[in-house]
Amino acid sequence: MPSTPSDAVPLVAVLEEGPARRGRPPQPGLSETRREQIVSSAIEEFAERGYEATTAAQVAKRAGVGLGTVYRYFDSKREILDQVMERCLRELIDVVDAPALLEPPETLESLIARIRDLADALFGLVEDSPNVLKLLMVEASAIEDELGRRVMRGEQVLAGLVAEVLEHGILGGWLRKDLDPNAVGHSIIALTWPGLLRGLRVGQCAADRARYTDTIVALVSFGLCRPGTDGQAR
Amino acid sequence: MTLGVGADDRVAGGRSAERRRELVQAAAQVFVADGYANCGVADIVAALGVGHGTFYNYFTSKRDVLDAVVDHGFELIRERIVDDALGRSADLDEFFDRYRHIVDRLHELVRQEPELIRFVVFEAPSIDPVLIDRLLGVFGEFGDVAAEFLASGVRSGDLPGAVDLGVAGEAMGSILLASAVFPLHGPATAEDLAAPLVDFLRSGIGGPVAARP
Repeated sequence: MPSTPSDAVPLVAVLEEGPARRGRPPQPGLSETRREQIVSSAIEEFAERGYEATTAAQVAKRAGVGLGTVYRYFDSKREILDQVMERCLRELIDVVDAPALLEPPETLESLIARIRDLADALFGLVEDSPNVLKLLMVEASAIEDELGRRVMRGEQVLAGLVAEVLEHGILGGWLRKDLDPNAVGHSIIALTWPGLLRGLRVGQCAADRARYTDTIVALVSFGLCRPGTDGQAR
Repeated sequence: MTLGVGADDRVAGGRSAERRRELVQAAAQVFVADGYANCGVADIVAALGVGHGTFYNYFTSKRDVLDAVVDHGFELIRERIVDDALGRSADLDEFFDRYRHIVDRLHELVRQEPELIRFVVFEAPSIDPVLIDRLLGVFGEFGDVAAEFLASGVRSGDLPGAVDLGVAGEAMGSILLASAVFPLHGPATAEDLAAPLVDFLRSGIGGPVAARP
């Protein structure tokens, strides 16, 4: 995790720096379709059962292919997981509309509107893509190795995006200078945790989604607008 | 381990609370070292140097002792962050002084027990989604205490009434935990995040929106 947004690994690099793809090179057309199909099935299986408890045979069965076919495309269950997490991260970036989020905001209002959109998009995952949300929030963080730290935590990607947007405001002089964009980026994402986890456990209605988003926006807007403890103005 | 087992620690059937604690600690160490999926009851009893029979005097299965490990981890977290005095703070200064102490206490815990905390927060929920509820339980308890104070702030006009106090309290608990556990995932230290976090929250709920730039 980069310590400051200015050191931040560009988003594209985060995604493309994934593990070297082993196994046979994918063949065009049908092969790629089949590979995608196996990854999709793995998302369902891993989300339902958990990565550790899922076997490659269960993934094969769900995909409607033989176990041998799975191993023709992937060296191991771990390699399937790498591809699964890459897909989940792409979906996350897609859903929060990272390019729109990163468009330099001109005013505090537009920045806060973006954070509202971000929070609302994240809570939308509860209904629209609970499996992706579960894999990113629950499964990815359980993987303890360098790859897990680097690629598998959507939280770090999101916090980095927020930090980058906050930096625009600080450099533009309309956010307080004493704001730590990295810490606040993580904090803003952390505000969504309880609501997202509860959504995964018990579901979420439209009112919940609005209530969580409104409260987060309220906390964030006061945090960004008020002077810091040292009294330094924005 | 403590030096002796008090009479009060004795439970029926020759079992002791002390032995139970030892088993929970051994299980936690084995889960952390080998991964929950890759170990069995045999590894836990071997780590402690006791027989299988001893284990089954206290627990019915590996899954059963997992609950005890998670309970233990969250109890440690709960002890640090659920502070009733926080809810009775007289003003924002007192509230954030206490909040800051809670941050420090939690970071201290993470320094003392990094593997256990990492296991219960990050790994246990992937073993069984039911264990997510323990995390939500801690957020909820902290949230209730924080909301008690926030409610008095709303009454006094410091805070906007539109904020859902329960949600706000939980979110503050979430930031608290995040600041302590993020360092387990990356190079940033706990100290890097603690001060900006308190500053952000303090400003965040400290009063009405400032004039627009």
